[in-house]
Amino acid sequence: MNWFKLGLVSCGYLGCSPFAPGTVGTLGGVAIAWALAGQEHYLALSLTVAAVLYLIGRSLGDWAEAYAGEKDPGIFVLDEVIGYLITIAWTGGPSYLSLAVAFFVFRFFDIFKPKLARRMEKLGGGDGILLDDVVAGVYGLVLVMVPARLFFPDLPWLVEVS
Amino acid sequence: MASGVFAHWPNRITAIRFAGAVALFVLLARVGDATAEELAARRGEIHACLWLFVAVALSDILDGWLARRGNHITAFGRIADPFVDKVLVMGAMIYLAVLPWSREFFPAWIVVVVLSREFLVTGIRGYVESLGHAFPADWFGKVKMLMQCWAIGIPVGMQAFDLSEVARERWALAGHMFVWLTLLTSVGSGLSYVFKARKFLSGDAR
Repeated sequence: MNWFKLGLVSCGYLGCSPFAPGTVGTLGGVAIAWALAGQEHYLALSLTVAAVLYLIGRSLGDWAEAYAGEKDPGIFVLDEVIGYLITIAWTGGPSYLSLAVAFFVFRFFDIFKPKLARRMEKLGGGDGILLDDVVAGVYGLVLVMVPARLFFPDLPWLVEVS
Repeated sequence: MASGVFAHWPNRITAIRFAGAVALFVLLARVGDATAEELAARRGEIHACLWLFVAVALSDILDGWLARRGNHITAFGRIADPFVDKVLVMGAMIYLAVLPWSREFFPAWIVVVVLSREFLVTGIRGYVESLGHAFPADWFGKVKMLMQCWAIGIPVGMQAFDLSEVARERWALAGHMFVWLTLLTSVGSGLSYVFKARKFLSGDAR
């Protein structure tokens, strides 16, 4: 069963990347957001996916830490995927521009974890691994993505929903 | 070991920043009474104003960091660095309060209140430091500086770029918001400095 659990927490083994697993793992979030972008109810769908991934991640947090033998292991990238989906929680489907900007914005906040996000890490276990990235995702959404859309309203942030 | 006021980069940067601030005022004066419509044909000059302001404002972080890292803290730097900061932001606010395309953002009384705060804080800081106590800028004062830079940068940036109607309205709203935030944080941080210095202020000044 370990291969299956590993596949889940590393978002299809993206987190097993030998270099920058967090950044590579975030690409899993980009793929999910891109796949959902054409859907009519993008926001509801993407947040549902994020919630389901959170529950999976929460239950596998202790297993992942035991498997990797460290706290907040690099192979565990569901947190990055969830955080990215929050940063790009548009009411409509995100365009390629949104997908790219949100990628860099989320990685920025995830790497330079602001105070509140760092406090979350202390919770330990599945929640400790996940919540700091959730907070980083909210920072990205509130501090950059929403202002960007407000102040650069003429850029193509959303795709036409078919 | 090199000596003299300009032996090290922090003070050189301060001197360059002062020259940059003066150049900004010359550019703003050249743009002068042009209306917003006339400015549309002179975007290059406004772009120069915007990026000069951004460069001079941001280099404040650089020279303070270099001075502390290299331990090149000189009396000249202690006086000249805040002097250049104040010349830059207060000078820019005064220009923008007068120029036709920006004055709607800067009511004269707000500029007067912010200027008064600067005089008060400079006076208190000089006195407390002359007594041999440290009186560094705190986070509140730094937030004020940040608000002030946005309040100045937005009206200039709005002229530099060809914005759509929707974008223009939103930037204008943000510009007004930052001017008011400048007022609030100026008064607030000024009061917090007064509060911090109160034990010196009630003392014997002879």
